[in-house]
Amino acid sequence: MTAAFPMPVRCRSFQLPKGGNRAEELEDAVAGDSARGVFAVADGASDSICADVWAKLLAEEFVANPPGNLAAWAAWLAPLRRRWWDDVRARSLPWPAEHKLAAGAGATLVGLEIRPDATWTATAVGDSCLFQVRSGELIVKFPLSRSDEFDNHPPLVGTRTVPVDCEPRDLRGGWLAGDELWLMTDALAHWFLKECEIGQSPAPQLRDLLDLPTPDQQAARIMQWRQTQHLRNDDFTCTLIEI
Amino acid sequence: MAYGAEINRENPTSIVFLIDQSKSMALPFGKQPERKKADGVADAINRLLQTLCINCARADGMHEYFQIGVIGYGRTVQSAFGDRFADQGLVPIGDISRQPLRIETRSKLMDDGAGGVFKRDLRFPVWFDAVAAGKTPMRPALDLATRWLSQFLTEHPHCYPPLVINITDGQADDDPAPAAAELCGLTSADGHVLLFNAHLSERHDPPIRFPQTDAGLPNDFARLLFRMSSVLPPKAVQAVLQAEQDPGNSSGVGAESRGFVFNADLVEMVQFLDIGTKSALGAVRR
Repeated sequence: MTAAFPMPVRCRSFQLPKGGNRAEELEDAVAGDSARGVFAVADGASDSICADVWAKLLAEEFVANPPGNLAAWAAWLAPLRRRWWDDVRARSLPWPAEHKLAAGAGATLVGLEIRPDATWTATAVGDSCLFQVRSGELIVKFPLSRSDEFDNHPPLVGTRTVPVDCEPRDLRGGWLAGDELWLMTDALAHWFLKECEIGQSPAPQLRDLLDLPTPDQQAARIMQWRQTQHLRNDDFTCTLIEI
Repeated sequence: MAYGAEINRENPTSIVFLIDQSKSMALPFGKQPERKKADGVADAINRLLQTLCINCARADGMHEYFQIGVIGYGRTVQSAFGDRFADQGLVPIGDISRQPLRIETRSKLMDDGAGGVFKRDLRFPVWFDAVAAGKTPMRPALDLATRWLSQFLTEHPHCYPPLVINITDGQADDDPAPAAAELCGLTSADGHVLLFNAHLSERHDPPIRFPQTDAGLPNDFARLLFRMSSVLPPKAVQAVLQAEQDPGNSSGVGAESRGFVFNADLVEMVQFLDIGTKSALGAVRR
């Protein structure tokens, strides 16, 4: 059912693969439905096989059929895991990839459901993040809130339940007209928090990036940040939802 | 900071295994009397090559993070890959994955992540078999590794420093120390070539792992191998500490620890090889 928003929700995204990688090697995924106010980004773990397929499944299913609440999480994931196996098991892979596939794939995820009653709920596993900016002020950081919380081994949503299954976190909040809700994968989220910690305002810089007229110009700006600022060379996904 | 470079396809590193194939390797491990040392080493290196290949596998193919050399020294000193790679010396990991000596297939039950299981065949390649003949020409083996890595470092001057792992069970024919010093003198912009040494024992003497000094070593040969061994870089120290989360498996590893194990049995040798390769895998781009 399509919810009737009192005002339009506008969503814009930009993605760029890790420097040195080809476009098809991007393992981040983004999905959104502005009419229903549901959005998600996911980041496939690059040391697993077919993690891009898993990230895309997670993000798209979150938007098409959100899990609703944490109690429903395991039941929501089970059919997705089967779909991932069904997609990848028939592939003809070299023997090393077969072994890796047996270990499954992982991804981080942050999903956001915005409701017409001026509330929202976010669900997250790992270090893909949601930030809420109101009148230039960062008022929500979720699930990580400091740049030193990022490391190379974030919790992942796995295609397998072993060795440990993931434990999602959720957060509820409220929105006002004019708020910005940002979804981003780890490299950009780390940069965003670091900029805040050194007294900079990252949101206007990212808005400028999204306003650039061509993807080539946007890519050039990101590559400049990778070289001159503390933006890690990793897949880049930035989604801005404006209410 | 040394040993901080990222390993990626544009900036690969190299791992070279030196394998003692002398006659005494046909004797069993002291603590595994049913297992010849040469067989244990061949199995361990085959498994380790499998691990490296698996770690370089991506959906779009093999990512060439490593160039691998395996030098056997015994009756001859040469690449243990035999004729498959001709006189190539170091071999890109993708070529290694595609050209094993033979492939064994085993079925495995795998969980589907949703409460069910299914059967899938997995292929396990083997690259070489055990050899045990001749003397212990360790010095020429180190010299050959130096030649291969000199060339590699010319082509990859900013690489994560190459790692050489020497596995031996006895006294070298002649003094290997100068050749080891020359090998460890090779350097990339990120640090010196690392040489780790594993000494295998057919006795029951307790192993000595990652010593920080030569004070407790039992003889001149052990002290020689200690001096030939590089200080562990921080990533390797971390790999040892992670492997030792099991209490009772503590080596007392520290900042001055050398990449060296003396009197290793089969289990010790496998753990030692894991530490060496994990320290390199930890530098691979994620």
